[in-house]
Formats: sequence, structure tokens, C-alpha cells
Amino acid sequence: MLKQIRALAALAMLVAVTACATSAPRTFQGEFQPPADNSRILVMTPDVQLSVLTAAGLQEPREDWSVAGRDNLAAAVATLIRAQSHSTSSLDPATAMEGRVGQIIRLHDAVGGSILAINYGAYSVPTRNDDFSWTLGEGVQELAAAHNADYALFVTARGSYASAGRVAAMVGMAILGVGVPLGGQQAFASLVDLRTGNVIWFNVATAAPNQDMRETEGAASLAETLMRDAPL
Amino acid sequence: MSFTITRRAALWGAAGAALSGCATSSLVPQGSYTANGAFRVTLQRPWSDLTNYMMPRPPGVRLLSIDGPMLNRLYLATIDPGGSLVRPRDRDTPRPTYRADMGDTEIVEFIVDCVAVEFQSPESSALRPQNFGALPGVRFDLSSRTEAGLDIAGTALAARSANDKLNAMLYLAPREHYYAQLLPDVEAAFASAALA
Amino acid sequence: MKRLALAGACLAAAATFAFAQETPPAETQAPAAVMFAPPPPPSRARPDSSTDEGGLWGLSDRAEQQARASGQLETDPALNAYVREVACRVAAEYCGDIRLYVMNRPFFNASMAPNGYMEVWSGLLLRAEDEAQLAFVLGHETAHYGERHSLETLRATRARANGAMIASMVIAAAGTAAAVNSPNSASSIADVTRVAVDAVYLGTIASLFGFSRENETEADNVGFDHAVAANYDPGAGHRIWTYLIAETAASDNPDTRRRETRGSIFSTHPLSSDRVEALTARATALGGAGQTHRERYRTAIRPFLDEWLRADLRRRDYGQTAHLLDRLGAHGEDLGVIEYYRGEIRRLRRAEGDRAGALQHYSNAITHPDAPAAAWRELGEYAARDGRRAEAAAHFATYLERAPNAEDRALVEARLAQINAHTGGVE
Repeated sequence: MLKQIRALAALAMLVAVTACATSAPRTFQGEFQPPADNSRILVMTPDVQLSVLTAAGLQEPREDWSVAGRDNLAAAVATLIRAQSHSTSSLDPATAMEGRVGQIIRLHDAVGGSILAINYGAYSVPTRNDDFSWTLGEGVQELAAAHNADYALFVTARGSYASAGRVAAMVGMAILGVGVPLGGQQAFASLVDLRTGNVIWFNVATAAPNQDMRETEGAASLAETLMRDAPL
Repeated sequence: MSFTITRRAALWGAAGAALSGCATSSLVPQGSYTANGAFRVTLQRPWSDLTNYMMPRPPGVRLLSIDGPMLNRLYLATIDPGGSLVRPRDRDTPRPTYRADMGDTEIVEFIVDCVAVEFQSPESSALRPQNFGALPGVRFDLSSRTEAGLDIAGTALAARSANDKLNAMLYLAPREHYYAQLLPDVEAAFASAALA
Repeated sequence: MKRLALAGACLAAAATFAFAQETPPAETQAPAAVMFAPPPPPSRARPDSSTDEGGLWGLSDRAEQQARASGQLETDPALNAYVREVACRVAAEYCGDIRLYVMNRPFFNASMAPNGYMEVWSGLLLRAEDEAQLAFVLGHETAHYGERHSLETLRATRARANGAMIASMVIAAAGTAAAVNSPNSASSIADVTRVAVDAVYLGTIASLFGFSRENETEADNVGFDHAVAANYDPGAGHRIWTYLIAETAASDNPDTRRRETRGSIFSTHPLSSDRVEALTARATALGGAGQTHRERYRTAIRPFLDEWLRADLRRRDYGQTAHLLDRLGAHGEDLGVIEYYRGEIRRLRRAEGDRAGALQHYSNAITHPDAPAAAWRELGEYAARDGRRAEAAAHFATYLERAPNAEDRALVEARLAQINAHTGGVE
């Protein structure tokens, strides 16, 4: 039992604590059309959940951080897109869960979850492992028509920040050979072509210590890492 | 109270995380495929066999998929009387059970109730006689939703064999795009069924 | 068996894959809730988002958003309006805070989150005997809200947490690792992964509704006072708790019988005989002055009986469903549906004597005007198997007559043709 706990804690360390920013973009493997100049890009309101990791190891949600992270990321991503001479609009998916558009948004959750699990996770699906050609199908044209857009960008972020007490606990526990997760943040992005439904680009980025999305500059830096290789 | 719940959730999570590391999947080539040593179907393309990802795994059930279990599933099952398509974690939790003396509507009900273990309010439609290889069987369509509200469509073909086992094929996928995309392949698999 | 196994974690069902969209909801009323009268304004302002209470609100907002998009949401406007009206009557000053959602989940549960989002499960509506019992339970839940018990629980958890370092690390580890490794579900993997994915958030949200015994007693008392003040029968509280204890004891599952915590409100609301006794004593002291509004309540849930009983039966806990049917049938109403489901239990269970029992119950069912058409189909099926062909043909014909659009029409017609081919020679 103890062995198991230690192994898992160590695993969490590996996953959650990364010293520098990392990014692992994947691009659609078939033919696709990167956004032409002046494309209209619908930026879905980012789904951000941040928490504080207390000294005792509890993760408590921090609504103020989540809201700040969401707003900062949304602004930073839109700025980057506009810098590439595209126009942006935004849509809060929570307001669009009805009808076929709601189905498309839910399907994106399922496809995004599958990408994370199969292309980025340890879940092997041989028919998909080496094949990045995910799609939502042509139903996305409903979303395009309803919101006057050519592409949609979905951004999700999860993570926690350690409290001061947590850092102290880590030092103490490390001596006992137990890894204490220090907290970490990851962001995911997917760019969907609203004519074909294809996920033309997907990325997962782990935030570096200076990429604190609760702050404007940190979010801008994280957004840049996240979007660096996007075909925009 | 809260701690019991979170701790139990954590242990399950730990088990899941640990096991998913070891669970293996394999590629099923295009062509003839024999499921559970009981029946044969012809697959129009390669599929992934995700049977080992079902934990705990119900005996006699194979799970194939192209895009992962969230986007399409084809269950190929051969179930003994007293068996089920689903397997709860503990022995005592009741579950839908197949019986050798079930009529066609009962077989449909059994499959639909198994689907209801994971999906919301599944409903069967268009029940009709259709052969499963040489066996007289029952075919039906299905509609349901995930907990998150994603519409799921399905279709199934089932028949009892001479040794009282239930042979069944069940296809499930999101109604948006995915269901229709593989339906011709699934129809072909249904039509190609032959007892092994 | 996700829902069977996890019904205890009351908001477990609301947690979705880490990729789900969960931005805070707009300040709108639940689309499902059609109000008879405009509700008063909320009594509470949103707490500062940097406080722990603000964090609870944020968590509740996300859960509410998932409920609103959920495949389990019951959208019937009349039912939602009715339940909301009852909740409002016992919520007293918190009426304006309630955003109520009826969820189709075959377990007895209700909850009110710190932001005013309230869930009432179909399994509760099916088990309350009258409006007074529903009112007591909803009064109890709004009392937890009024007294801010979730916040109290969070703070108590945090205070205890220093001694629980190891346990919480496992949670953190499982949450992080699973979020990266596991996709959502294939049948039975569903529960493992989905629990793990947002284990941290889920752990927190489940704990919001895991109240102390003192909190429960307080909520019982406040719920009782509010229900009585709204002129409801004072005996309702002890009656519904007593019923639930009895139904749990009637379960087929030894695990359920042993641990009351599974698949019921008790997992988050520890229920003990002293609570029942306290409520009984208070009701006795007050005398039986209030209203039960039994008929009105039954009228409101009647259109859903068939659907909810079907869902209840899918749990395959025949002992509990049979116990429930006895309660529903106690006043001699809806006997067509009730007798049909008594027959269904026996048809599915196939224990000693069940065949004769099923036949008897289906036969009883069809003497009542509300019998589902399927009762005739089952009678036809039994008759056909026993070689009573003319009778079988008659029952099948009645079934098709009563359910002309039945989805299994083609099967039944084939069955009829088979029978007629046989009888053709005999008659």
C-alpha cells in the first residue's frame, strides 16, 4: 500500500512539476487549409480551473484565480490571433449548449478528451495512435453559420499553485523519500476548421514558473508558448 | 463522511491510473475476425481491440473501436445464461442478466438495460427480425445520451445459439458525425456474421 | 456500473472529463423552470471570489452548468414549476436564491449548493408519498443552505487535513495522473476514469454535501419548522426517513443493507434512529394539524410514474422496487401501472413461483384503465409459451391495437403470424 502511494506521488511529481515550459503540438495529417489572411476565428471562452495546493496537500478551488486565468488567457490568445491579421469573436459555450451547436460543443469535448488520452496519454488505440486526423464532422457548419466564423479555437487550462506552506512541506517530506506535488498548470488548445470539422491543430503546454496565468504577463507568455506553432 | 468518499474515489482513481498503464490493446486486421470463439464477422477495415480497457472485464465481451471508446464502440459478445454485458466492481451489485428462455423483446430489453448502466435513458426502436448468420435473431436501433448530454445512437443484432448462449453485436457512437460514419462498416459486419 | 456504484457521491454525476466546458454560468434563470410568480430577489450577494466561500460558489457554478447541459435533466415545465413552488414554500427567506433542476436519476437525493443551485432527483419524487414529505426534504436541504453548512464542512475538512497528508497526496496523484492518462470510459472503465479525472474537484464538491451529524439534526429541525410554518403535516419528516430505512432494509443487495450509505441520500446525510425519534417526538408534541396534499402531489408525478419505475427497475434491485411499489399502491391508485411493474419484477427475476406471480400481476393490471399496453404483450408471450395459442393471439392483437406505433410491432406481428399459422390447422 505504502509503495503504491509513493509510486503514485512520484508519478504525480513527474506529471505536475516541470521546471520549464513545454509544448507538444500536433497537426492534422491530411490535407487542410490553414486560416487565410483575415479569417474569422471564434475563440471559445477558455475553460479554466485553478486551485491552491495547501500545506496539507488539499487542492482547494480558487475562483478568483480561475476567473483571472480565464480572462487573461482569452485576451492573450485573441491578441495573438489578431496579430496574425485575423479577426476574432468570442463565444461562451455555456450559453450555447442547446440544439445542434450544443451537440458540436459536446462532441468537441469528446474528441479533445480522446486526443489527450490517445495522442498525449498512455491510452493506446492502435487505429489512432500514429494518426492525427481527428474531426467533428461537417455539423460544425452550424457553428460557423450561427457565429459567423471560419475557425474555432478551444482553450482549456487546469492546475494548482502551491501555498507557501506547501513548499516547506515538500522540503520536509522529500527527506523521507516521499515526493510532494508542488502544483503545476497545463493548458490545452485545439483549432477546428469550421467547414470540414477537422481539428487542424492541437497543443498541450505546461506552464513555466514565470508563466503565471493569473497575471496578465504570465498569461501572455503561456499563450505564446501554447500558440507558437499554430498554423495561423 | 467527505473523507470516506474522496479516499475511495482516490483509490479507484489510483487503481485506474495504475492499470491503464498495463492494460494492452491490439490491432485487429481487416478481414475475417472470430469473436469469443463463437462467431465470425468480416471487418471492412482494421479495428482496435480495447477489450482489456474494460475493468473489470465482463466475460465473453470484446470491445472494438476505431477512434477510442468515447467516439465509437463495437461490442462483440457471447454470453452464457446468467451472464451480462456489464460487470460491476463488486459481486453483490445487481445487474441485468441474460437468461436462456428470453424472448426477442426480452433480449432487446436486456441489451438496452445494460446500455443504461452507463448512458442516460436509452430507448430501443425499430425492432425487427434479422438473421445472425444462420440463426434467427433480432435487430434494433437505439438512442441515448451521455451524462454530459451528447446524443448517442446505436444499433444491435442478437440471437441465441443452439447451446443457449447469446451472441450479440452492439454498435454505439455519438449521433453527430460518428454514428453514420461507421454504420456501413457495421452493417457489413452484421451481414457477414457466421457461427464459428 | 457507474451509477449503481457511485450514487453515493451526490454530485459525482456532475463531474465530467477534464476537457469539458465549464465556464461560470450567466446570471440567468434555469431554462427549465417556469415560474408561476416571479421569485423574490436572491437574499445573498455573491461572495468575494478570493474567499473560500467564493471558491465554493465557483465550484457550484460549474456543477450547475453541467447539470443544465446534462443528459439527465428533466425539462418538463409543469413538474419543474411544481417542485420549485414546494421548495419555495419551505425555503422561507431563501426562496429567491433557488435555481431548481429536476434530474432523472433513480436514487433518493436532493441537494442545494452554496450558490443556490438545487437538484431534486426523480428517485426522491418517486419515493415521497405526498407533498408534505417532499416539502420536509426540501426544507431540510434549504436549511443546509441557510446555515452555510457546506462552508462549515470545508473549513472543518481543512482543519482536519493536516493529519491527512498522505491520503490527500494520493488524491492529488490520482487526479493528475488520470487526467493525462485516461480517456472517458468503455462500459466498466467509465467509473474508474471518470471518478479519477477530476478527483480533486470531485472530492471537494462531494465533501460540500457531507455534513456532520450536528448539521443534519439542525437541518432536520429547521426543515421541520419551515414545513410546519407552511402548514404541512408535521409527521412528514419522520415518515419519509422511516420509509427510507425500511426500503434500504428491503434491498436485494447485502452490501446496500449492510451499509446504508450506498445509492441513497444517507451517504451524505448520516441518518440515525435518534433523528427519526426526535422528529417523531416533535410531531407528536405539535399534533396532526397540517396538510399532506397527497392527491395534489400524486397528480403532479403521475405522468412520470411509468418512466421512473422503468428506470428504478433497471437497477435490478427487485427488493427495493417491490417495497416502493407497495408504498405507491397503498391508496389503490395507478394500479394498472403498479401491477404491471409487479409483474415486471417477477418476469425479470425468474425465481421460484415468479412465473405464476407475473401472470397474476399482469392479469390484475389489465383490469385497470391505466395498464401499459406491454402488459398484454407479456400475457400473450406467456400464453404462447404455454401453448394457449388463441389466447396468445388475442393478447398480442390487443397489444398492437393499444400501441399501434409500438417499436416492436414487426416482432409481434411475426409472432402473431407464427401462432396463426399453427392455429389455422387446429381451428
